[in-house]
Amino acid sequence: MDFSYVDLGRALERVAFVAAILTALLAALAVVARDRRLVAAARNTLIGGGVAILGAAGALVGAFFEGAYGIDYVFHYSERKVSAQYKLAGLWAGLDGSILLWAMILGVIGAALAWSFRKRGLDPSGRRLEPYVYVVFACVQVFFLAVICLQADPFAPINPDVVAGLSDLQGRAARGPYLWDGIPRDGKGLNPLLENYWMTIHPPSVYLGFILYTVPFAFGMAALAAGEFSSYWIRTTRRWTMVAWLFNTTGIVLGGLWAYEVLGWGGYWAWDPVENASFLPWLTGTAFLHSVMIQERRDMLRVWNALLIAMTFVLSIFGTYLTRSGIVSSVHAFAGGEIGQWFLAFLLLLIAASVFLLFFRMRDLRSANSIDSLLSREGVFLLNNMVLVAIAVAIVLLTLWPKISNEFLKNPITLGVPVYNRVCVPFFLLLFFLTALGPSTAWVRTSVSRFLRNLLVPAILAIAATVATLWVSFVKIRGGDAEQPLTPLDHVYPTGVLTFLGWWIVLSLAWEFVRTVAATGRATGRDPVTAALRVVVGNNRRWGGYVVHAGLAIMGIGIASSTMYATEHQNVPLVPQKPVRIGPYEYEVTAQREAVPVSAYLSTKLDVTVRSLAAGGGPDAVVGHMAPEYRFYPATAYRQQAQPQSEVAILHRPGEDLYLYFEKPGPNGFPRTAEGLPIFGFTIFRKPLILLVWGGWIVMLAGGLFAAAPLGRRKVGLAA
Amino acid sequence: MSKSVRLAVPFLLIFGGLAGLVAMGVAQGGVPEAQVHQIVAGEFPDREVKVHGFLAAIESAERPLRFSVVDKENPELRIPVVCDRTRPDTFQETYDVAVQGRWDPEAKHFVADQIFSKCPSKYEAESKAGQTMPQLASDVGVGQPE
Repeated sequence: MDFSYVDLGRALERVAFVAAILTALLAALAVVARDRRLVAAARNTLIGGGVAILGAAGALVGAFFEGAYGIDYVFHYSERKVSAQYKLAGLWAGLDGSILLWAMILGVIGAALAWSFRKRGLDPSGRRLEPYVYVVFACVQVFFLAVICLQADPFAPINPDVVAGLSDLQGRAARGPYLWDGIPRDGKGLNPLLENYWMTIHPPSVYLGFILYTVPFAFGMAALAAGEFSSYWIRTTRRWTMVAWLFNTTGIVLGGLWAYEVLGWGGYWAWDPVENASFLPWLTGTAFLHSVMIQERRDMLRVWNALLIAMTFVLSIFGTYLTRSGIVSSVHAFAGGEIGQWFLAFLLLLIAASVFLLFFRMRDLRSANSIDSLLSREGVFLLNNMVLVAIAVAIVLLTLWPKISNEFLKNPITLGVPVYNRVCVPFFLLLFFLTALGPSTAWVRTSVSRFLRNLLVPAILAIAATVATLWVSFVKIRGGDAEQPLTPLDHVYPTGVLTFLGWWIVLSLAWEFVRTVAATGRATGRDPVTAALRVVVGNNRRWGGYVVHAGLAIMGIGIASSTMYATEHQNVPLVPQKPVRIGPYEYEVTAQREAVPVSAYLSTKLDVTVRSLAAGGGPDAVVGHMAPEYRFYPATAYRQQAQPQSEVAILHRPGEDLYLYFEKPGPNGFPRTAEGLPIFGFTIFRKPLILLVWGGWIVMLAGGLFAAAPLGRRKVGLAA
Repeated sequence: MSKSVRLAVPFLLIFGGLAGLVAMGVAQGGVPEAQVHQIVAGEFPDREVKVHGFLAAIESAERPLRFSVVDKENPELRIPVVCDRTRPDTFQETYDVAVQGRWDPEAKHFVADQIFSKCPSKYEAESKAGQTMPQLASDVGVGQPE
């Protein structure tokens, strides 16, 4: 059975590879011969290739569900006991499968793009660009499919050393048999840390974000190659870019949620190279989403926009290169190897091609218009672009610094979280400041008095809201300095400044909305609700974008409080039925079960009752129950070493999270009291206002979807 | 002021500020990376350093953690490490590990403030790519460490 999956999967991979090469060739010929029949043929091969690679991915998923452990990849990333969702997640759990997933998503997007061109081809600009787009898109496909077919084949048969090892073990008459017709009877299994529901959502989100940027990149490069200087490509790819950006954002946030809920250090962002890899295209993608509005509105920044989308796509590939080359050490990069060289070569080729096309068309791309005043919508957008790109440049430099310092200075230096914060936080604050100013500016030029008037009221309200937020967060929730002291500066920078800017953004937008609705009401004679609906639906792109800003601001307020006002107590011993007081809460282990077999592991699970001391700490003061768990995955014939793992328990309280991390016991198990009771060790965190971090993301998502929706009078809207 | 100068000023301020912050951050917050043999040779006396190697000889898997880090090139060379941190999930012998801290010449061990163990995906991939399952467990169902 195994080898039918191998044959099917490999055949489909090769079909997709050939289809991608054919697409590129046919489209290139169509450009030269100006023959629409060749364009139609390229369109069909693009669709066909997408279907083929989808089939190949389906074959690998089938192999996972079938338990085809004769396939090396399946053996390493799955096992019989694992549930269906993690069998599916095996597709992207390892390097080879993740590249197949990338190629599969790229294939499906390519097919969707080709399908959409069946109509769009009627537009003269679209007809002109279509074959060029196919050439660029298919070249990207050729790269990924070449990697799969020639370097990282997820259908490769099981490594003979593994079979030999299992055969040897079987010969020593342990509990086998471990082999069946020379094929392992079970798989090694996903690492337990990956058996988490975020594993099923987070990686595909990140990949979708990265891969969807291929569409605007292909259009941008096609426009340069074809000499098509209208804003057609910008308008056509707006929704693609918005959706890519939303997935990119979602991937980043879900990665943070995963870290928060699984890794047990109480945080969600650690400036790891892999985290940085997903953040870099987000920064330039955000800059691109803003600067294209300037091109649409004022026909400016054509070179900059082409450069930005090229940077965004290159950074997506750079991120993939970072995680697959071993160039920098990261806690969750894949192993290095030859595949890194493939990505490096592709990266250099992309940069060379993009730079060549930009220089080739530089003269034609110059715009007659220019920015008249920095105090204008386009002026603020440009400054926002500079800041976003500056942050991206800083992160690239800091991420590569260990490598740069090792290779060129012969003095390898590692940079920790404080260095990243010291460099990036001032720029984030500047970005928030510009975001607050944006809605109060007008295109071309803004009246200074009107600008100040528009910002003044929200600023005064924001000061009041900041004082209230910090008071609630620090005094009411954290309980002031009682647990762990802070310096006065901690309240100001960055906490106070970030909270103020967050509120200023939210309140400026609210103020702008109120004024716009009032003006519309006056002009149309409608009641406020109808006027508000008319305003929002009439220009969903603008108001959806503003909601995204509000979401980002809310997230910023959450980050400020949850980071600076967090408390942490390490190695807190909890003995059953003996309450322990930490801060304003009392924790007591009220029930326990030790080493109970569950699925592939032994589970020690506790019921920790939490009581509020402010409410007296008695039976009536119970605020919730937490269920921390310690899992022990024993070594098996297939899994080389036993693995202990702690499952975090989180209690969401109004205003804060209580967070318990189960300390793993030593080889002798949990220590005991003189009475023989187990002593369970915990790290206990409190994270004020952390829900605002995740809530801000939901708001961003809602705003982004609304902005991308095909509503309103201006389907290709102008952010006036 | 001409339009191009008006644009150049914020550009220079933003990217100049960036260059300054990066230079300052690297100069003040950078920690040298080292291999075990460099620590053994006394190359970083009384200085914070991040040491890479393989995890070995776990003496205590409870806080404070006590283990050794073996040199990647010369397995004969190793340093004892003490680390009062939570044990990472992927804290197992032979795994790639990095510890950040200082060498204590009197106690003759490395006092680590931070321990970095690798993420499962990396471990799985390396195990698969290279020395696949060099030692199989002697039997299935190794029990709870009790």
